[in-house]
Amino acid sequence: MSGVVHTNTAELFLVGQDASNMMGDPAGVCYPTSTAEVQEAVRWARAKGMTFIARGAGTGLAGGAIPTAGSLVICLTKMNQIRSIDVARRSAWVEPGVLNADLSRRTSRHGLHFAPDPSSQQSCTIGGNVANNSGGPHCLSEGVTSAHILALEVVLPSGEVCILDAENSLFDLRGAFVGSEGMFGIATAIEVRLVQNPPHVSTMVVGFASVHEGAMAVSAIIAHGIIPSALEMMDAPITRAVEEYVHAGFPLDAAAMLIVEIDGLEHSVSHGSLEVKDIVHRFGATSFRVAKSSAERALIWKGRKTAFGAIARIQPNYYLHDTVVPRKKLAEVLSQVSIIAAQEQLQVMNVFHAGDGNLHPILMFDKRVDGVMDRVHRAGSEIVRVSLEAGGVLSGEHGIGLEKRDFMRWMFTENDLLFQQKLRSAFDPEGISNPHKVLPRGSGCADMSSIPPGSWV
Amino acid sequence: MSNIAGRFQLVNEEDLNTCVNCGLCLPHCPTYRVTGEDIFSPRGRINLIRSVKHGDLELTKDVVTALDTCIQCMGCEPACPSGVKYHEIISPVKAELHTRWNLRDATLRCGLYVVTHMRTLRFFTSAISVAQKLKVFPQKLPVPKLNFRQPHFNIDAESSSKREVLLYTGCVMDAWYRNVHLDTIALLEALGYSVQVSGDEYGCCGALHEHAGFAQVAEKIQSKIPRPTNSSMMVVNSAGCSASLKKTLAENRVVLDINELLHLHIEDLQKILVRQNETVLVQEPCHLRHVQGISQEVKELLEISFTVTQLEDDGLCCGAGGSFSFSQPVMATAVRQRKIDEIDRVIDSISPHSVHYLASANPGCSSFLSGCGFDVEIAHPVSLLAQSLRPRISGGGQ
Amino acid sequence: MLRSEVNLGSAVTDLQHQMASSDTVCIVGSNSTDVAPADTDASVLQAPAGLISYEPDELMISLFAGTSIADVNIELQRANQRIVVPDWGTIGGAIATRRNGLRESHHLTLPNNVLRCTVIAADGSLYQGGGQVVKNVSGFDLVKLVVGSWGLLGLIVEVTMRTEPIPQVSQWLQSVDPTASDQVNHLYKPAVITHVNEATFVLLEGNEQDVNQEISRLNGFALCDMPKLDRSLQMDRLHHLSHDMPHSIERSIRKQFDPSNKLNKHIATQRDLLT
Repeated sequence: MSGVVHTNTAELFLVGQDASNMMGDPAGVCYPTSTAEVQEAVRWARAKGMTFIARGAGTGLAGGAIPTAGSLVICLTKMNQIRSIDVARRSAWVEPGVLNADLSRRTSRHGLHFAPDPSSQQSCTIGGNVANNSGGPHCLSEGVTSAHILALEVVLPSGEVCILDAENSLFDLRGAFVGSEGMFGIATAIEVRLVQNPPHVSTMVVGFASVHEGAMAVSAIIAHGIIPSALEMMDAPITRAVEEYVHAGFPLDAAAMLIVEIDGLEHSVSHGSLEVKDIVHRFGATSFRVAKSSAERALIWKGRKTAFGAIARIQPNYYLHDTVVPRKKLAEVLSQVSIIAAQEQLQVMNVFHAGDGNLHPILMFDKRVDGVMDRVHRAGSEIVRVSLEAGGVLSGEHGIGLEKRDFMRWMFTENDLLFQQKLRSAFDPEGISNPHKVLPRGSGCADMSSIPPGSWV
Repeated sequence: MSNIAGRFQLVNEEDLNTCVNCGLCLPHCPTYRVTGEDIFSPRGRINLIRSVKHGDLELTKDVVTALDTCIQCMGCEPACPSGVKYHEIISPVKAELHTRWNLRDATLRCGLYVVTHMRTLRFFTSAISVAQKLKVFPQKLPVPKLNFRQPHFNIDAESSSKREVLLYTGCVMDAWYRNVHLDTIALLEALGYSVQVSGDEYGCCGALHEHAGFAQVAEKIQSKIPRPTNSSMMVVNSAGCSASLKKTLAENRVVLDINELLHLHIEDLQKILVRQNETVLVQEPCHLRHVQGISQEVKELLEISFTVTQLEDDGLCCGAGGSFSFSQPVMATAVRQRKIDEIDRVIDSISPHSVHYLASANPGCSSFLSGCGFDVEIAHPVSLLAQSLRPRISGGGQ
Repeated sequence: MLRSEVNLGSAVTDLQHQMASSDTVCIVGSNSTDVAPADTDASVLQAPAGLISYEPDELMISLFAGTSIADVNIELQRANQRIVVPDWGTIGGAIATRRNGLRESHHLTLPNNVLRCTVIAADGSLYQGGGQVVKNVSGFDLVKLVVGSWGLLGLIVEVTMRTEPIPQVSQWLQSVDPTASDQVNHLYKPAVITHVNEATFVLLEGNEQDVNQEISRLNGFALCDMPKLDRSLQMDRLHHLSHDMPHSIERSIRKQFDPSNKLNKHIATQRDLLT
């Protein structure tokens, strides 16, 4: 085993990072190609008294994949085979390193796809989706990753392998494992549910004169009993930044823009679209456009999904937040977010899953400016505070990781956290699988020992 | 090594800062795709270059390997939402790494010397063709079946068309793929162009040298390319060369890739090309798709005469990468294998043996792919289109 | 009306005291599931009933877990909404037994619609999982764990459920022709496909024109009423579970949550989870 553990500084430096702004200090990295090799790696780490951490593509934003000092990084990118596709049952067994977009691409000729579609879907792995219970625009009607995982083959922190599914346990261990951020063990094979591709799709781009009106329209659409397949909002600054390079025909004069997509059978799509058109106009829509071709639709989604990248064209660094608030509070919380950013003299942009109240305020900055990080951190925690005060939660899809670990007490009581810790202990009594994440420091909850440098704590 | 590390200072800090570590480039990088290792990814390489530049990381053997194994296919650039100019970051680094000296490098230098000397190149070409006939030339090498003597250009001297175009003939393209030039001329003349050929005076464009990191040699070659006194358009049928010449001659003349030019005349072509009952699978050269942004054009052109199928790999590199397949054979072969698997997968998914040609608009890709005993005929899209030309009516033109 | 007269806050506190002071506890809903009789000396605890809040515009309802599902659906119908749970027993009971009914083919339906639950643990303390929003990955998923835990991890007292608009049309169809059943695979997202003995049942829901169009694509199917559901299937599941590796994780969860083996001993015994 020691032969296949890479320890050169360059590689360790790279696998010590993900898409967050944090940095870890691992002791080794290995690339198993089978369940047996993952098992071997876990046992090797145990024998050496090391902790270990599973890694996918490293696209997480909450630092969930940042290794704690001295841990073994078990990188699953070489386990990238689709083991089987069961077209009749609409399911597939895949290895954790399969990329989200690749899976849908490979199942498309059967008219099927994997529903969760995080913006990083071209790069992120199914294993990572399981760990973070990932979302995406189309989770509004289809549900998040947890709703699409039928069974898991898992290497437990003890080194044993088992299958978690509905048939072999009373408790929903599968459900508990999804979203456990790598702290319950390592999924080495995943049975995913595949969803039928919709026969009809209508994608609408709607402009509004104010963020408030846009947010009110979102609530009204849902309240009317329409569940679009996706309902996204972008504010004016991000719309302008994106339009500059995507040229998707986004309304540049609008203060806020909605992307509303309805899919399904012919009449429900046509009726739903008409109703949406009617509602948005009642809420003062300044422009309304329906994508006329699949190419036009693809361009709209390209603009939406790569939106955050456009920020690098404005400021070199960004901090992408992720909280959820009740839909009716969207307008109120968005205005609070802009006040918070103004107070800390930071630029802010919003591009988010409005349909399920999942905010993504993006704070932009240049980290080379003195003291800017303090302001970013302050603004970040204020955004979390106002979201919770509005009845919301810490994270809708990015996870807690290291980023929001110490905000957990803002949302949960000590006893809530204690029971979360109990669940963790049942899977990982020694706390060796991705330690120090999710549960806050102090009390009986957190794992012992050091904190990675650069942690947002 | 430390003096080389010092030269990493040439990389622009702003270019490095544009990368936010998001990882959206990862699946578009052929070396990450085949290894799954961050160190062989654009994000990883940028991170390494930045850290070496800032003195946070030493320029160890592992860092050099990571940088050496970059094919420079530029698949990461169009994929990057932040607009990182990866070529601006990797090119100076590649150039600096080539101040090393080893056997493989020395052999590479010899090869690159040959392509800039057309007589020597033609001599070797004839020699290889003899060796191929005697079956003593290793089939595995990425060299297509060569002719002892190249067919002559047969230019329609009578043509008095006002549409003039200069066909850039290049080095390897002319010595090994003269037929593609003849097909290009046939198509252009059918479209009413009067075609001139650049000939050996223009020689090599230096793309191979630049790509391999021999920046100074490349500059020298590029400075020798004649700058025209008239401003006729130049057309190039090798994707790697058209990408390079567009840059080199940016201030002197209009340079178009042949696919680009033909696509401008797609309606005329629809009139003069006949339908063939064959299926073509398109392999997109990186320098066409990623560097020049020419992708659907080739498909649309071929669709005039053929049933066209595309690969579903976002134009991932085939591993040829100019001289990359020579300098990094292990990585190049792994990348090629992935491409071949993808081709096989697509062919299987249609129905067995229904693909007749693999179209590739770059000689590097064609020869590298032909070196693996591929059982589908590899052809330049221009040759496939020329095959479909209606028999010419006397007088030519339209 | 659903809202209860009694002070339910104090009812929860009372239950916490009872839980803390009892050695053996049997948790019951409306006893709609035919479980084995409890120990005679066990304290029988039942969650209170009543509506906490209902926000039709948010597609969300919060309830005390002892509320009957029939009552919930009456309340929801006023706003043309529903929860997709078989129409008997209490909401707490449905959650504790993961009662998906005919939607078993989509066995994730119920767990995904429980957004939050508050539970009285074996030691009498309260713990909560999830939140009052439709999308949430904050912390480990105690909700998923509690759904289907048969009262072995505590007494569910409060829940927040996702509601959904009632579709324009809901139509059951059945066919006894075994060759006809293949056709249902070509339907677009039917709400339910289920097989009862030789018959294939399918439920189509949605826009009226769409449903009619889908029906016209089916040959050998006849319109029918909802098939009857065998309630005993619920308990059967307990006996068909394997005892290999995941079982030891279940034991250790149980040990963490109920170290003194206080809760629902009759269920724990059947699953061999006494520690």
